This record gives sequence, structure tokens and C-alpha cells, in this order.
Amino acid sequence: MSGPDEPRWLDEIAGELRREVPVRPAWRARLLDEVARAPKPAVRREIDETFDDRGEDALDTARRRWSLTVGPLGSLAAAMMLVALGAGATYVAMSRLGANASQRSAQTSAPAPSHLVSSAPVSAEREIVRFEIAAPRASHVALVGSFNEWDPGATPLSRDPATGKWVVSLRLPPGRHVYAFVVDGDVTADPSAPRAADEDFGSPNSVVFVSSPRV
Amino acid sequence: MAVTQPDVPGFNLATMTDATLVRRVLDGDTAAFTTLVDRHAAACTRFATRMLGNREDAEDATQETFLRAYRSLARYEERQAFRTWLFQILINRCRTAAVRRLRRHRMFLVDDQAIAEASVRPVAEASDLRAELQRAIDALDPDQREAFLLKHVEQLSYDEMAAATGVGVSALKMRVKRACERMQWMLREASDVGT
Amino acid sequence: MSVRLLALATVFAASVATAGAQESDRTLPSQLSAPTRATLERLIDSARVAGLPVDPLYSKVREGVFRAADEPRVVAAVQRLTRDLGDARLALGDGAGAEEIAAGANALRAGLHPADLSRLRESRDRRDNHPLTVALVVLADLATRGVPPAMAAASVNELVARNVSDGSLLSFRQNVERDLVGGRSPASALDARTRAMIDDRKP
Repeated sequence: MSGPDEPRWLDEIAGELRREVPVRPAWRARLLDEVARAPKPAVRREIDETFDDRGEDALDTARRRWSLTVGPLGSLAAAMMLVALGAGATYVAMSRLGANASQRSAQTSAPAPSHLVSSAPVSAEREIVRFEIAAPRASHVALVGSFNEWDPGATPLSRDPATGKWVVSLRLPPGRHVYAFVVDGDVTADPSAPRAADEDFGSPNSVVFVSSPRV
Repeated sequence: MAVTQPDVPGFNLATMTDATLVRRVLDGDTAAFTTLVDRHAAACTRFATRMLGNREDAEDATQETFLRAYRSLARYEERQAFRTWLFQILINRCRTAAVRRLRRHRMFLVDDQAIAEASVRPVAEASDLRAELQRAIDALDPDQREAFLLKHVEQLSYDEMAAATGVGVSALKMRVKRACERMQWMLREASDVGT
Repeated sequence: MSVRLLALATVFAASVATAGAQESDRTLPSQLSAPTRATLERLIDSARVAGLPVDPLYSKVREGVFRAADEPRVVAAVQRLTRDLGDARLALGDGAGAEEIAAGANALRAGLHPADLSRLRESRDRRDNHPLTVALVVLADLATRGVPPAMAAASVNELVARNVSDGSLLSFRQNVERDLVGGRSPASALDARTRAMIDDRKP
């Protein structure tokens, strides 16, 4: 029953994976018993509020209102833009500009060109993120983070001759990543990136968010 | 209004489509619901067992699913596959079961002593494929596990998966891909270890 | 490859490395003693059984090893994170993804209340179901920089309710940070920047 696009390893385990889990007769009997005792389903389409629950509890829903006098909301202009997540990490979205180009992943860049359109994504799963830090007197700078197992040897930066800043560009999968720079042995957060709140080991880390490409 | 099964040759609940069966139930024929149960319970139990990791929770979730489906049968729209609609309910039941289990578990986390005494998950004895497979599935993050099971065990299309989970297609594809990568890695690890 | 893509490629002075080429490592570093590794295995295992994402926990261990933290400290950090992940998951609901939960845990750590997270979830457009990850990242950051958590939460909540994009949320954060560095009070900075973001969306 495996399709042509299924990888071989999946073929090998497909039989076991899709093995039927037999229904216990006692379980079946109990269910049908309950069904027999239940009121007949409403024929008219009534709103059944018990169906829509997404969670068990009614959590506290008291809203604090932010009182601003604002006018009617307009709709965002749909455009694909690039944005720098601080000067430290520039996220470049190489995405398809489609009919429903959503502003969701709209990002504008300060230093880089403000519009980039390509006809096809370069990478379906990973986007290129540029990390940079100004450390003019340093002799060695590295990047550590959740994406390289906090290995200080994994991702050294190099000096960009044009700006004098230390830079590296990485392909990262979409999502939230925590990182820091190691400047001549000292761990330092990215001064212009969002900060992670935990300082479990003495100094704070930074956060970079890579959004999913539009497909 | 009671609907009796006519003594008509060729009348056979087993050959009716899901949509037809639903209509019959709404007209009063509860036997038609039994047929729906028999058609879909095994798949539901299979998904829930793999998702929740144990049979008991899975049976509870599946039971609740069918009862809720029965109560809200009038909300089923025929343009959607019945199984997809049913799975939408089942997926929510499984997610709730996980949260419930999590709440019980929070008490456990506060107790350092309990943590220290908690037994380590036993290493799988022989390279029993069944055990290894469940172990690998258990090790997936819940959203990846959910997507992987729907795609490769229940074999829903991505559109059906989107309808059942409320998650977008591209996000689902990503989750399935990562789940497959992790499964592959774990199964390879497992086959390297031991005899 | 189009001309623009080629041009972009030359912008990067350094070569592009691929991070996380394999799936993230789920073994515990051998630098840790066997008893510590056993304790961590049990902790992480119970987190996994509870349905929590475990990648952040493994990452926390590796961070601790990198920083040469002593072992009890690493264990304490993992315990703490596990609690935060659990609380975040409860607050964000059963549909929350791993990234959201991790970001939520960090927001809680920054001083946000679980009710703040739940409120965000309610404010989000049901049809859209866009992850709250970036909103939570912004919240954690603002709270870390001295903005009272409740104030930050109210502000971000307004933006989420109005469907503000992730990119705009990050710009908002950057602007508030600049204002704070410039000496503006949190209340004044938030008020001004929130109003500006909302006004920007008017036709």
C-alpha cells in the first residue's frame, strides 16, 4: 500500500507501522451500550457547545482592555519585504511571491535591499541568516547556539573587510533559535537582537526567529 | 421516527457509504451507527494508541470520540470524508488527554525525590521492531508525531490533515519531514545497538 | 538562478554554513558524570511522556556544558525549564506547537503570567491560527529589559488581536528598545509604539 514517493526505510516498516490494532469486544460493547442510552443526535443543525471545546478548563478570560482611541483598521498592504532582526542577524526571505502573498512573513531589512523577489525558493526548508557583531579588537569570534549544539568550534565568524565587523551566514531551519557570540572566550549576547529571558548560566542569550517559507 | 430495515434483497448496511449511514442514523437507525463504529474504530484506536503510547488512554480517547461524534452527527457535512471529520474529533481528544496527563505529571515534577527515584525507561530487549518503532514514535515531539501518524499510518492527504488538525499544509509537510528524519535516525541507531 | 539571486549570493562575504545539518543531537554529552546523565535522562524522559518538546531540554544541557556550569546547576536548569514548558503548554492549549511552547516557557521565565499567554491565544484570530512564537519572543524580550510584564502583555495582546505580522512585531520590539535606551519610560514607549503600529494599519 506504499506510494511511489515513499522512502525505502518507510517501506520496510510500513507493515508493522500500519498493523491494525484490534478493537476489544468489551470496549465495543461498552461503547454501543453508551450510544444506545444516549439521546438521539439532534437532526437540526443546532450549535452544540460541547463539541467545540479545545481544552478541558475554562481559563480565566478576563481581558484587560488597552484603552486607545483608534480609528477603523485598514488592511495591510500585501507585500513581501525583508526585515533585519536587529543589526545582528539579517533574515533574508527568498520566497515565492504568490497571489495571496501574506504579510505574515513580511520582513523589512534596514541595511539590505528592501525588496527581493525570486521566482522560486532557494531552499524549501532552511533560510539564510546573517549574524554579525562589531568587535574591532577581537582576534577570534564564534557563534554558539541551539542550532550547533553550543559547540564553540562549529561556527567561527570572519571579518568582513568592507565593514570591519565579524560575520557569518548560516542556513537555519524555521523556528526559534537561541544563540550567543563568543568573543575571545567571553560569551556575549547579540546587542541588537531579542533577548532570551533565562540566565541559567550567568549571561543572557539572544533569540533569532526564522519564519517558514511560503510554499 | 423509527426506521426499520426493510426486507429488501440487496439492502446491506455494510455496502452503504459513510454519508448514507450518517443520514440513516439521523433518521433514527442506530444500527447504522454500529456500522460506522465497526468501520472506523480500528483506525482510531491505532492512531490513538501510537499517539498516546498506551492502550488504555487510547481506548478512552476513542470512546469519547465516537460518543461526541454521535451527539454532533448533524454537524457532519458530506463534502468532507467522514473519517477526516471523525479524526478531527479524535485528534482533539488525544491532545486533551495529553494535557490531562501533563497536569497529573506536574505534581511529579515538583518533587525532586520522585524525580530521583523515577525508573529509567528500560532498554528494549531484543531488537523487537514493534517495541523499537513505538519507542521511536514516543520520542517524537507531539506535533511531529501527530503529523507523522496521520500521513504515514492513517495515510490522510495533506488537505485532509489540514482539515483535521487545523494546521496549515506547509507546516504539516515540515513536521512530517522532520519526523521522518528523526524516525530514520532513531531506527538506524536502534539497529546499530545490540545484536 | 536569476540575476537577483546571484547578486544576493555575493553579498555574503563569508561562505554559508549549514547548521543543524543532522537532526539535533539527542544524546547527553559525555563530559557529564554518569549519575548526572542518569538524572537528566529520567527528567527528560518524563517530560517526553508528558508530551513536552524535549529539544529545548537537550539544548539547555549542552549550553550548560559549553558554559562549564557545575552539574547540579545544569540539572536545576533543566528542571526549571521543564516546569516552564509544562506551564506554557497548559496556558497555550493543546494545539500549541513545540516552538510556541518553548517561546512561551521563556516568556513565563521573564515574568509573564500564564494568564497572559492564554489571553494571547484567545486574541489570536481563530481562522488564522498563526503561531504565537514571535509574539512570545517579543514579550520575553521586553520584560527582560525592564518593561513591567503586565504592561508588555497588554500591548502585545492588542497587536496580536489586530493580526499584526511577525515582522512588524519584531520592528515594534526594536523601536521600544530604542526608546528605552533613549531614556523613555516603559509606559510611554509602549503607548507610543503601539499606537503607531495600530495607526499604521489604517488605510
